[in-house]
Amino acid sequence: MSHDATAQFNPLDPHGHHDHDHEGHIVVDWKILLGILMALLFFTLLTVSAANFEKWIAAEFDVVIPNWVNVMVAMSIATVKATLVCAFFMQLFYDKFLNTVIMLFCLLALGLFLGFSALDLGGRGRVNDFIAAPIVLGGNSETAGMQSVLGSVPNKKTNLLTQIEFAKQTYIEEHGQEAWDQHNAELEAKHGHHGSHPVSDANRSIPTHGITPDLYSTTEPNHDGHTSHDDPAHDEDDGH
Amino acid sequence: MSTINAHHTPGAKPMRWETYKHEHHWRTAADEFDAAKLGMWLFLTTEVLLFGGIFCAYAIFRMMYPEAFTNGSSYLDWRIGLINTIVLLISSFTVAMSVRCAQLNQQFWLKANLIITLICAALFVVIKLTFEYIPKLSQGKAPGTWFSYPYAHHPEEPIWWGIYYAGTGIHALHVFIGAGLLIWVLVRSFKGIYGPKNYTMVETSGLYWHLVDLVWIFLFPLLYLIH
Repeated sequence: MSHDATAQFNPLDPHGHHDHDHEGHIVVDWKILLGILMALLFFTLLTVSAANFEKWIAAEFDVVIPNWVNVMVAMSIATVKATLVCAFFMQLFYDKFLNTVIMLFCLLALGLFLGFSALDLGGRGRVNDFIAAPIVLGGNSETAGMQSVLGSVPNKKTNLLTQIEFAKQTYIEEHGQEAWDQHNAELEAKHGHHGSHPVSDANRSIPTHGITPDLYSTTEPNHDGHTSHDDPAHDEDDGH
Repeated sequence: MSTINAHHTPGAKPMRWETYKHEHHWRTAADEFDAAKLGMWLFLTTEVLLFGGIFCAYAIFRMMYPEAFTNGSSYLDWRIGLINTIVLLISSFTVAMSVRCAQLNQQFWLKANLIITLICAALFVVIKLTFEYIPKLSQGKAPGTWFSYPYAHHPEEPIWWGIYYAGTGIHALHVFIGAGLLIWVLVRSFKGIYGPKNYTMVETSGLYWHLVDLVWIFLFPLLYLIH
């Protein structure tokens, strides 16, 4: 609120004598307050009527309005009512804008809180599909929920093969073993090292040194001779 | 829209609001008032987030067990909720009016509006206890482990009652706290403390009471109307 320009700070008389200290503050007209009360009562009756109408139309005419419509109507009316209370009864409409900003930030925090909770709970079904899918090193795209999430992704059935193995088998089925051998030989000749490196997989990025003994020994594919042997624990495993 | 104009009646003994001095660390009484109001709004945001937790729990359990919530909602009489909504809306109006009366030095109507508000608060609690809490608890419609209602249909109905009592119970606690604040304001208004130069406490207590109303505005449809 703006104050009269004469209300300057006087260090010698900090209390001062300002008879019109509150002069800038608005006194809300009682007609406006009464009007807001009437509007609030009207919206209350409206939301009750909407809920009862929905029950009645379902019972009499067997017309079932979807639940989310019911929720949206009730919450929209409640939001309108809350806005009226905040703006006029709580005087945010006439007040310093800072108070409104504070409330809006609070509502933003509330929105994040409710929104992310809903996102989490609403997404559980999809996440469960991913979790339930069989685990194959490197992934096999056979994840059940993949289709519904990404839409156009081909829903390949790899029969638990890795994707690269599945791609190889598919190629051989279509073009024959000779075509694959021939092309593979060309690639070997060109690059020299093609195929001589171990297949990379996610487990190889896990550090195999750690304070917990045998932490990775069940998943570490260290029988194929590709693993580094600088970990004495694994050397013992290889000795079996 | 009028603005405040504080008149001194010549010769009469000044009322306490007329001699009100703001605390010395404020430049003006208006600064003091604005800061108090800002602080109240900051406090109200924490209140909103407190009830936000309850609303979030409501949303999660409703998404998980929609049938239990449909059953639970059908145990509540929307007419009782409607009456309590109207009672709270009227009390919110009278609190807003009491702020106006303090600003305009209408001492009688300041007290009258506060008393009407307190009557509404008592009415709300009495209706809540008489028609909801006491009959429901005596039937065994109690939250969580206290649940003993023998005619329930859905295994998660005790959770519905947990949400119901947590939401309405914490709201009722706020009704008591708000009423306590307003009783304090009423007592002080009998001493002539509030007037055009000093109505900060009327306004901030009023803001708290409006929050009670705001929460009920959302609790009412969520508990009574959505099915």
